[in-house]
Amino acid sequence: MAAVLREIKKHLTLYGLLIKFSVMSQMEYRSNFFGNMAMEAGYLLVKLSYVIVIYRSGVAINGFSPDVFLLFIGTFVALTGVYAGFFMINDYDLRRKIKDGDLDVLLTKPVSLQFMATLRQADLGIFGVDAVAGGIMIIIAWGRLKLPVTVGSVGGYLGFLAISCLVSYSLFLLPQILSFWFMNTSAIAEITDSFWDFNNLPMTIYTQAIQLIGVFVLPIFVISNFPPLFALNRMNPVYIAWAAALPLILLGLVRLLWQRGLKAYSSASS
Amino acid sequence: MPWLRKYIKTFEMGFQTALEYRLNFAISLISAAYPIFIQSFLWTAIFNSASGSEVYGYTYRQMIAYTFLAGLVARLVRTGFEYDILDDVKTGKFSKFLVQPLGYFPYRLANFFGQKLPGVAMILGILVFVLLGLNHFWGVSIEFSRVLLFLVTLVLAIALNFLIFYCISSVAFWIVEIGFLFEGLRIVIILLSGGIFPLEVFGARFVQVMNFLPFKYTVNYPINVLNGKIPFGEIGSGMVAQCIWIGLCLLAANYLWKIGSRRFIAVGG
Repeated sequence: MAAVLREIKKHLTLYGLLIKFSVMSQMEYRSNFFGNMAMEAGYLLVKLSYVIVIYRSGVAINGFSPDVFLLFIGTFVALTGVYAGFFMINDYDLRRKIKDGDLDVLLTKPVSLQFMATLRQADLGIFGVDAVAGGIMIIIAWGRLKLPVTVGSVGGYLGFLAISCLVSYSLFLLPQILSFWFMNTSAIAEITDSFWDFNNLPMTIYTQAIQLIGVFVLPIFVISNFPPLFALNRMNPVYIAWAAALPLILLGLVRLLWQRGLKAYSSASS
Repeated sequence: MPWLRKYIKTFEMGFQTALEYRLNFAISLISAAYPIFIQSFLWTAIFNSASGSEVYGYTYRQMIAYTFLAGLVARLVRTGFEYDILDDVKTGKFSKFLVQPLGYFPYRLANFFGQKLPGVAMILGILVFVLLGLNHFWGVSIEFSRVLLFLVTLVLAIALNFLIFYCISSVAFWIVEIGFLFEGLRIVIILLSGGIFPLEVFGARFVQVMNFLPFKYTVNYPINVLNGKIPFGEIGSGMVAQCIWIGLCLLAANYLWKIGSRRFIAVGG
């Protein structure tokens, strides 16, 4: 147990350093850094346009008031910051590393290869834009809905956010691992990446069948629906059990597939 | 016209490049279908919850038709050459156009239309199916004359969007690392052009402001010509506005590229 804790501490310290290096290297090309932020601000504007449409319509959609929608969209925006700022950037690079044989260097490091290959880079500019905007939207919605500000409610919401981060990491990494077998998976990645936008709105707008698929088969809706559903006290016991089990299942699946994939890695171009 | 031959060749090259990556294009169409899917469900939920039969001046059928058409038209007018221009300026490839008897603007225009052609054919094919589907299942009838006028406005919209992004591309002479900014501007322009939601959704004042900008003439206007939102008598004035904006953007592009290219520095061979 002590060895596991030591390993976790080592990787957390290393992660802090890697983020620091990412920021330093981004600051070398500042126009790129601000360009990234401008791009994310553009995407943010589109997400805000959904908020405007819903508020201006003035109707409670499928029983959800515009304020409830704001809570869902705010959660989605904040989680987009985590996904785009910490995971997506590495996912794209993983394909290149496998294709070009760049994993060779990382294989020699005395830390987890999966950790180094999938979490090494971060874009705090993108994360910052979405985290701030999403945070503001969540706070406004929380206040307007008069939701309780207690350790249980806020802590529970943050706990579900943490689960969402784990699900995002593993769910979107899975298709990228296929690169170990198929050199060009950009097409698959483009389609799966677009799935992220299904979280833009609460799953209640979809049919029951789509909701079931989105929660239990391709668990994309778990990511941005479960935290606000908890805050609104609308989580049923099945959802809570699924939220507890899903990260473990997905992380286990990722680990299994990663180790299998690594055996197929042939350092093609080196 | 021998001078035209080189641009016809450029057009052919663009056409061949587009065919080379046809699978990629087909896949990008699948990812373009997601927003249409999401918005259709959103509008269905809004209309089911609304008390009246109209929301933002649109009936349910009109809104769904707009959502489908906006997704397709926004994809039709989409550019992408701005990244090539950025690369030309950044890597110094632009210098060869300064010494060769080849105009950069006509080269890019011919290449753009060449690359667009297979995609346009594919999307127009899908559009025919969408219109037939809307007609068959929902009784949304569209007059043939409106389809013809739509095609004219569409050509003008593609030309206008090309010029808007050609103007924006000139920023590459001032800021070299601008790739991500292009993406941010692209998504905002899609929103302002009505490529995501009808402009009426954002209120009368917003529509008034948009009337003084060129963006709505690239997506919102051609769709409203097709779906009958714009009466026949007003279609002509819209086309004139499209032509005026094309002229203005052409002047702006000429000016921006003139002063921008003075800043161009090519180091090395």
